[in-house]
Amino acid sequence: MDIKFNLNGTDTTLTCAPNESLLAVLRRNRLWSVKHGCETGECGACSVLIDGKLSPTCVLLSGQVQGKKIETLEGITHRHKLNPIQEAFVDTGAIQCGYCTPAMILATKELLDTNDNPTEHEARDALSGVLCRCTGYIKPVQAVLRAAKLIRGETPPPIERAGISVRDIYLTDEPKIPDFPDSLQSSGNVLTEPRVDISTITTTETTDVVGHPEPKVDAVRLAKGRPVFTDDIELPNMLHAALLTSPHAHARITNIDTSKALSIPGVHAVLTYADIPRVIYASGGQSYPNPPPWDQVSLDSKVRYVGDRVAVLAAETSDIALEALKYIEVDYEVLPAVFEAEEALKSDAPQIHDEPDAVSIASPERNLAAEIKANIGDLEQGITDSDHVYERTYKVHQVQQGHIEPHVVVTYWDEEDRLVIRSSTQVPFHVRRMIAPLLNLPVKRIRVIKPRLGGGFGGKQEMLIEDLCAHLTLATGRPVRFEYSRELEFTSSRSRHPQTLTYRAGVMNDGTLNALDLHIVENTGAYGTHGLTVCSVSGMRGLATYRCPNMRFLGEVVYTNIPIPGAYRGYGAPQAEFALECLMDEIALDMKIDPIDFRKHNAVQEGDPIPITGAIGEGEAIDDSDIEPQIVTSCALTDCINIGQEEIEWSRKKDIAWKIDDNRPYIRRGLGIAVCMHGTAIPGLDMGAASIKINDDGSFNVLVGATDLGTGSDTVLGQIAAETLGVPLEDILVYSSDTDFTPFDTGAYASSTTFISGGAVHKAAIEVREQIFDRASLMLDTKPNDMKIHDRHVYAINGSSVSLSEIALHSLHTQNQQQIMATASHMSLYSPPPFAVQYAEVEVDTETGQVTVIKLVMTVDCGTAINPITSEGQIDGGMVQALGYAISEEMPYDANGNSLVTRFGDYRIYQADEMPELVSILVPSYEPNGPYGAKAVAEIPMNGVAPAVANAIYDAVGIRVRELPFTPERIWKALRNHNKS
Amino acid sequence: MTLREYHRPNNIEEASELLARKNISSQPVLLGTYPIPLHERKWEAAIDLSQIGLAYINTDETNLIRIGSLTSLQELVNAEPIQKYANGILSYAAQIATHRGLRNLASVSGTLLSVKSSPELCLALMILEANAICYPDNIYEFPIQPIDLNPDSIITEIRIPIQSVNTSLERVSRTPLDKSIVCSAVALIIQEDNITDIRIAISGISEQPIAIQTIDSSIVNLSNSKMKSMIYEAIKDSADHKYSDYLGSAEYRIEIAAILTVRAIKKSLSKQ
Repeated sequence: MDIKFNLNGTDTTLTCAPNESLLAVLRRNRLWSVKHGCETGECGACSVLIDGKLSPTCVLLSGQVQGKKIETLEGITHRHKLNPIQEAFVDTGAIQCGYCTPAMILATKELLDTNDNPTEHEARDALSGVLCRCTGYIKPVQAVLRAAKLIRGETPPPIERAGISVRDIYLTDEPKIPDFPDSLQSSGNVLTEPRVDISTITTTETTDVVGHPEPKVDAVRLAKGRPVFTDDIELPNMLHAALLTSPHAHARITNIDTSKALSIPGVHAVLTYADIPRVIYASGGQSYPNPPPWDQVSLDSKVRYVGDRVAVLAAETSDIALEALKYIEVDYEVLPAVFEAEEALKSDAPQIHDEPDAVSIASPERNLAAEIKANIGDLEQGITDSDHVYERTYKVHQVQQGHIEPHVVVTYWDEEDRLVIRSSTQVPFHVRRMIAPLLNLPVKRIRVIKPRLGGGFGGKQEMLIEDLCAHLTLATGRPVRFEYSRELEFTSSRSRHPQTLTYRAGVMNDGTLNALDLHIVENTGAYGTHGLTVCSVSGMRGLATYRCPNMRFLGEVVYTNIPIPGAYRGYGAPQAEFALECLMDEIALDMKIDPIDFRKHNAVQEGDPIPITGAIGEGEAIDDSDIEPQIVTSCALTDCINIGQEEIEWSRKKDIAWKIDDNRPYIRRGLGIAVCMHGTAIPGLDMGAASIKINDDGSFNVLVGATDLGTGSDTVLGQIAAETLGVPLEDILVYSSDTDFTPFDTGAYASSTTFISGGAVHKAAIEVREQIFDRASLMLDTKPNDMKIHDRHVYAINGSSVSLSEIALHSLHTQNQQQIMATASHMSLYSPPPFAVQYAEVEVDTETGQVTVIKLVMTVDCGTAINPITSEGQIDGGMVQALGYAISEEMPYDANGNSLVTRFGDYRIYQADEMPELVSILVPSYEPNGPYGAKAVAEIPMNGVAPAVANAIYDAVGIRVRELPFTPERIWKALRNHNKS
Repeated sequence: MTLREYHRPNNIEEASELLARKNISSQPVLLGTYPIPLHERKWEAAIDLSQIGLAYINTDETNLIRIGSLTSLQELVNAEPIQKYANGILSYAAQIATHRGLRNLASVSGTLLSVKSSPELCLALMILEANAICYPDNIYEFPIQPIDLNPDSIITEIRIPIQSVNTSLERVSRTPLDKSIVCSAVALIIQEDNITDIRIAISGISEQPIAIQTIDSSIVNLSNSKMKSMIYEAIKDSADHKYSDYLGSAEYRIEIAAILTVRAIKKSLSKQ
């Protein structure tokens, strides 16, 4: 049928099928800014303005817009300049992955078209229709208010708030040129304005680019809704894939008949276990060799959870593909299933992995995928010697990454018969290596391209669907597109591991920890993938924060029939730190020691070893006694505690009048704290590389294998290059990542990119700078010693100078021609820990059990924040994800293992209009092993909210809840039991 | 069952005829706050009612508010007369029903006819004694289930009698604006400064919202504990004791419904 409407100012007639969604029609007509995030209108990424109203298009039939006026981001975007809303989004750092940005900009337009002076409340209401998993909404709200000012014709305050002061050690290989003392002023007066604390290091020098809140290098293109994501492409003859998943939690496929599906016009291939080679692998995107167990094949004759792969097909359209799934006939022999890890370990539990070809399962008969043991000192003696012994068990649950861009991949043969995999992945190089044997293709015939990512949070540190899509291209010879629905994201993707954590702690009378024993039983679901390594990190993080001479760790990674957990931001740390930080509070309060004093007394400090890091490696216990534990080389934990204490007004804990609300006598208020510690990259394993070359105009291409999944890592890497090469960030052209054109990088995980990939960029830039100095020396007829590079020029000690563009032209065209360029790799044996302190203020409804988080304060020592805006953004967004972990998000199942939550609305990610006050404070330290003193920031914000909220609940009502999430009924039951007792 | 027809009738009669066809499964195009994915809908013909003129809020009459059935939730939020009537409970109910984007799309009837949509709007209409007017000829009280309607029936209008009333709505949810686990709405009818009637409607204790009809207005004079006890018994008698899910057990829901109802009564009283 023909639909007539006004599209971005032009009267348009489009031919649509009656069942076509408006989203599909718009994207089919290359309006790529309209994004698919769900099918239920709940994420809002697909929203456009219909007659000026923000409207999700995935739930609208195309026919519903007959006669309407539709505006997409393309319609309000000028080719060469930004409109005020786009400008505000770029300037405030409101864009992280950028996937929801088009909808957010349109939501802002809807508001500002009728109200150019909105309140923050109105701004939050306007943005409520667009879920953002990255930003925590702080900067988007700032952007709305800033855009309003611009539209009113006012001049908003400058964004630049802080340069990072530099102490001499920063510049051992750097020029020392005074810079921007005026820029150290804070600006803005928005309620949600985060604060950057200025380093207390006394110096008059600051860096030019590093430490400055530069706009993200990809912000403009994202603000314009450019087609930069995996699915923003249209290939001729492209087919669409669909996946048939298991309706049973545990079953054997006794018969599968695809003939009816294949006979449907438009269906080109249907693949089952009978059609492709059986190659054992592990899907976790990790370094070679992938940690065990290897317990997966692309398609199997046995299914192990509801949502497991059964068959995959390719058809001319998505609708045909989905319809054809109904015609695949499968007979199952249903087997007993088990969903709890403790049950799965019992001798009468069904055996989930009985296939003979699985590799390195610790004990398939016991459903034990892996086991990790580690010892420091003498645990039992330590317990015996202690004055007080505590044993507590905590339970943490399964949650979803919830990246708004689903998993999506496009595969095709290129003109040289090489297989191209265009994928939304955090690990393009791992995917290339891991997929080759599954396809029986050599690595050299595979190219993986990673466009912009619409969020990942670990969920895309997995070869999740690339193999199936590639198999379909192999089978059909045609390009194939495979995108998960939101329901598949919940049923057949990855998530955070549920764990049961039991601590035993021995403490001396003076509050000194003397023994810590941690036993974790981890539910890894149907397959091992990241199970072993996540559990290892849990053990490491659970035993690293506090000094203790006697420690023991036992981790049991257990198969069950739930959908597969995998990598999720924090990677085992949120689980362990929930238990650890609740335990620390419990001990302190029982011993009548102030919980902060107790933590300060025991926490590791600069110069301390972290013994557990010498005992647990990446995925296993370390037998090699030569491996030295990590040393804390920078630590601003005490500052973090003190600054946060002031911000949260910790003294209110003792104010009874504050704790009780006279108008709502059923409300009690409380404050809680949690100390957080994380790692920075995997020592001795993670490696990143970078290539830098100069162009004729003195700009530089920086080619990195690092994978910016929306965090701003491309910007940070660009800033490191710019700082080192004496140019503004705009002269750095960052390209990431493509296995054909960029050097190797392990990928975006383990909080490694700034530290590892940044280290590579720093090295390559230094080498390029040396070549520049050599060339300048030739041109200036002076020695390269003591040259300085700054402001696009090289300065010799005699005062002469030459511009970088002159150097580039000279080197490329004039004399002794040479391409100034360098490639460098970086790995590190150190994993310097970032520290943070999370504070929470809560209200507990003592009658209903509802917990309302009023304020979250996080003070973070991430070394030098290479870019304070992106660092703050990481903290803001991480805190909100962590808040969902504590309060609302969960993945429940029925008795047969069916997911009860398959859409965002039921899962409940916080919206912009229901957020607590968030305060993110960067507390600088200097990390000598990191580029410009940097260490990690990406994951640590996930770790502290749940325990801080738990401790705040205890402070408010005196109940200790040791299981997540803190849903109303769970708290209500605990209150009732407490009152009864 | 694939959608293969899309109709945009110009009047209600034509729409009703299209819906009444027996040879094809036809449904009106309605959106609530819990949209079903388009590819999961079981229909062969979509009947788009947008040309019929059912989106309006009419407060011209002195004793009646008329709300067209396709009026969007956001229009309820924005409309000043709705904000001012009965302590603004309808605007508030519409506001918290879902986020801005879906409020722009979701219609009153789409929300009321979808079992899993947010219940607050239905609760508010229940305590305001609103009725749904259907074409051709029926009048319904709330709550309405799709099964209550004939295939050719179309809700055209919501009618709310104007009366002197104080209202309040109390809810419990995981996050402040999450779909409520339990919600209680209370209206106190005021005549000459006296409370002459009380209406209570509760969601989350059965599949559909329930009106608690065994409580009379004298309850407002009881102490908190007696009030709660009486309400608890009334709710216990009305609730579905098997209604539970991962968000709350039946026991929790019934207990909390009583607590929220007491709060709502107290708040309504404070508005007098």
